[in-house]
Amino acid sequence: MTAGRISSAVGRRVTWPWAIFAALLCMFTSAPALNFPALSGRVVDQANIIQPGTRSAIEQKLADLEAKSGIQLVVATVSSLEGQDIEPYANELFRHWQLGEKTKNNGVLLLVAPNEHRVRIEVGYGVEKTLTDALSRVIIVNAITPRFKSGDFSGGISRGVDDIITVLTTDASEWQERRRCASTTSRPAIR
Amino acid sequence: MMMISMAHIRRVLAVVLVGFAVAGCGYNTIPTLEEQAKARWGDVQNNYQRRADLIPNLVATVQGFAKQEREVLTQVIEARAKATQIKVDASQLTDPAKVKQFQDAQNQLSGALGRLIAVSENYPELKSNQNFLALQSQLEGTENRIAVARRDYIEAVRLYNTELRTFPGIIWASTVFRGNKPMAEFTAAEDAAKPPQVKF
Repeated sequence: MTAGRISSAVGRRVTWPWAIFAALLCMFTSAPALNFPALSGRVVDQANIIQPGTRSAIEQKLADLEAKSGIQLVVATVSSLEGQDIEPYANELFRHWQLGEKTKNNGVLLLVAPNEHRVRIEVGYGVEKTLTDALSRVIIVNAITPRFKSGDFSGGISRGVDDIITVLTTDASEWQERRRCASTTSRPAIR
Repeated sequence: MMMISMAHIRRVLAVVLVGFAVAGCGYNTIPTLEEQAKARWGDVQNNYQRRADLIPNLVATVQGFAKQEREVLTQVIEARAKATQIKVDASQLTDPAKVKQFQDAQNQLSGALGRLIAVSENYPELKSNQNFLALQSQLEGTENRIAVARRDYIEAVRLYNTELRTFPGIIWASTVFRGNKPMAEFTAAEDAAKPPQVKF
């Protein structure tokens, strides 16, 4: 018992320098540069532009997509890009949230910044060949932006999600067939 | 017999403990950071190559609508040829002149591409051509990937160079890893002229 009393006294004497050291260490370690919202669910509506009914419908579709294909598609709206361009912001948010399975890198982030009037689809490396840059642009230009311009954020996001899911879940050969039929311009040989 | 084996055991134990201590004190850190930086450089080169691969198709498409813009098209073709010739091997990353040579060639290509895109704005049929639009978004996507790869490389090099110069890395750097030199960084990034961004 004597030994116990001594050791606890010793413990108290030497703890506080370490506490100060730890506190100083915490002060000087770099905090993340941007204030990202928490990944609270498949739809993170920080900017509060999605109607509740639409939101739950979208969440269900995203859950179904992950169950069927393993692809983790997340919709996020942010009230501010904090002075960043949307491309680096989306890339850092995607990495911060660690979307997708690590081995397959199959995450997709649909990011809307209504106050900066920007939309971006950020895609993990594993899904790049399916949801290409060209297709992302087509989806944004055709499905999302026109609806946003008329103030219909819920509709634009919902339709965008539908189109993304269509691209991700349609068989690749079917897409190539559609593209071949639709293409009217002949491309000269690549040299 | 028993006494000899005890001493032997103690010696073996000492060697093992020293090994753990050495590993714990960061012997592995320098090689690990070096490999990470080299891997990030690989990503940078891959993405620049990806951009170079898009260009023949882009040039052909623009030529289909704007053949008379011969000067701009030639500039792009020549800049691309020059840029693809200069490759920086992972072992050459400690040579700032070589890295700068690579960067300058790529910047020239960025400039030529920017001019080509700008010129294409004057041709409404080209601007609305589906193939051109697809190529344009591929180009944008690749430029973005290049930017990300550059950032990752710069960070990896920063960590490696810092490890070489600060405690405890500096101890290893001046003894076992005397041959390791700091890696070259990029100078300020020169953005290619960005095509008009889609806003709503």
